[in-house]
Amino acid sequence: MRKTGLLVLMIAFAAVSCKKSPVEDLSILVDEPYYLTIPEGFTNPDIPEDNQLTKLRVELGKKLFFDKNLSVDGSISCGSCHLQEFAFSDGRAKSIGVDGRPGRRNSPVLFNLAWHDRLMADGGVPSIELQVMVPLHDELEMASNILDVSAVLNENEEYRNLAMAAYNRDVDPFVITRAIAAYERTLVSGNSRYDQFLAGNLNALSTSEKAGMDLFFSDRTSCSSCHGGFLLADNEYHNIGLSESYEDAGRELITLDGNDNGKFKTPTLRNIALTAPYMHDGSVESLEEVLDHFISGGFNHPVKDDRIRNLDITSVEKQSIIDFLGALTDIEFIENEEFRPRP
Amino acid sequence: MKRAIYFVIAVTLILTSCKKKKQTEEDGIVNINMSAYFDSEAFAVGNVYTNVDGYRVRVDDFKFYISELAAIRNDGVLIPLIDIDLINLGSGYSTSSFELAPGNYRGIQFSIGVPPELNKDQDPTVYPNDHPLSVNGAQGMFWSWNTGYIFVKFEGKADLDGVEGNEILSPFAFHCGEDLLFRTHVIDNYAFTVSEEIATPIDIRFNVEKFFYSDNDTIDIAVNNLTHTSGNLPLAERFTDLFNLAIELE
Repeated sequence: MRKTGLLVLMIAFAAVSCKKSPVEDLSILVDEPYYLTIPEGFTNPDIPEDNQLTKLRVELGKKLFFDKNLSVDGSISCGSCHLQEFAFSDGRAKSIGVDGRPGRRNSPVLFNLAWHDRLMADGGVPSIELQVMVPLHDELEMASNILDVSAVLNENEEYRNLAMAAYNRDVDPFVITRAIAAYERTLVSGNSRYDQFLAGNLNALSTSEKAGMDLFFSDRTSCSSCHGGFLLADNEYHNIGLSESYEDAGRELITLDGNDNGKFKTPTLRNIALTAPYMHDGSVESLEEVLDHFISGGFNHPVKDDRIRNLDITSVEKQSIIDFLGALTDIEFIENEEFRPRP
Repeated sequence: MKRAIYFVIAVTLILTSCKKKKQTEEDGIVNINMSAYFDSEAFAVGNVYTNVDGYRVRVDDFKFYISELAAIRNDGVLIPLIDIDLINLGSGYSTSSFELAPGNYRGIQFSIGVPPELNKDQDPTVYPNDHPLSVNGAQGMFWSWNTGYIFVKFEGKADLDGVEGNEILSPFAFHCGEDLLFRTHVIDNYAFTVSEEIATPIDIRFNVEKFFYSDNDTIDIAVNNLTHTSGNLPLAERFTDLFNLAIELE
């Protein structure tokens, strides 16, 4: 019996001898699940099997998100163009990459991404994980290479240990994309005064904001036909007549279908008052100008959405809609210290 | 003594458990040789050639994916040799060896590009580093912003005056991908025999000069010199057609 046991041990050793040996000293890093706080009215998000949320994964992702080593010259991090005070956009028409290079599009907000079907204004990327590589490789943004970044970060013992504890592997493209995505999934915003109103606090909105809300959700404006649901966005792509001819073809770049020319993903209106300038190219400076665009019906374009049409509303009604949009700001979200890098 | 025997068994297991499957004694060897040439000259990146329009052309990068390469047995059965591989013909030559059962074959079949089920919206970070579809193995043949693989990358610079001694400054770049540009070649009149005794060569040649023209089309790189497929699909389709027409079996 004793000899049989010895043989079993030997065979087991043979079976595992082709595998990498695990890092041994991880005694200080014990991982545990991270539970998202889902706001009332939100659904449970789908989270990939290979990237279920844990505290160490989120911690590693946050560390990576604010690490300038992700850019080719160490000058910018993800957090350089996604600032919490702007609901993780950057307040510029177009972001500034390494060497002061202007980007192609307006920096998108980063919150409630767990509920998005696809990422990027043109929907070119199917997951948050894969989206991580876009700015990292874009010559106008970080101009880097995720393999080089992996090599640099693997020189750092803290990163190595975190990666091993969180994902049981060295820092590599899999770990970098998963960890940043894990952190970004925790950026949940759903406690604006509008949400508080929906939860039963009828005093959360002013009279003007309530009037704006009613207009927003009315057939007169059709705003909510695209900006509806708990995301205040429909995960779809629309041409809103921003121009007669689009320099940036938008969704057409991905589908190669001319019927998608000038279509961009509907942005969420949550925290919209914090995220000027607006539109995919940052060409509209204020919410008032955004309203002016939709009231005018925009420019003619062969594939413009039918719902973009001249609206017959008064200046008072317009102001009430702007007031309502202001009530979509989630102060708790932009002040949440959990989302910030550790000192 | 018995402990020593157990130790030997264990060491044997360790040593054999990491080895690849041994070639069977019955199999022969097939060498898939891929080479590029320009007109009658051997091709290599960095060399300067004169194209059909009289431009002096220097190619700086030439890579492509080949997939689903199989030998066609005389009874029509496909015997897979390569699932997918990234070929870098920068040096003008690439070769790989495969085991194949002896017998008579009537041809080969292969595709240029990444099969649709492996292409769009797939994650390169899940592959091991040495896999041709991994971040490392793809060698830049992956679009992060439009998740998918570049099937063929052919880029460099040209002197549009075609004067010896001129600087070569005008860039051209053909980055062709997307499922609709996946092309399959079935060559069933290329009979060959595999035997145990000698390796059988299969020579696939790429006539780089013909990447710029055919009987029906010419790409003038003074005018049409850039496509990432997205944004200029017509040019990507034209280049893909020319590229595939320029493939020959020797």
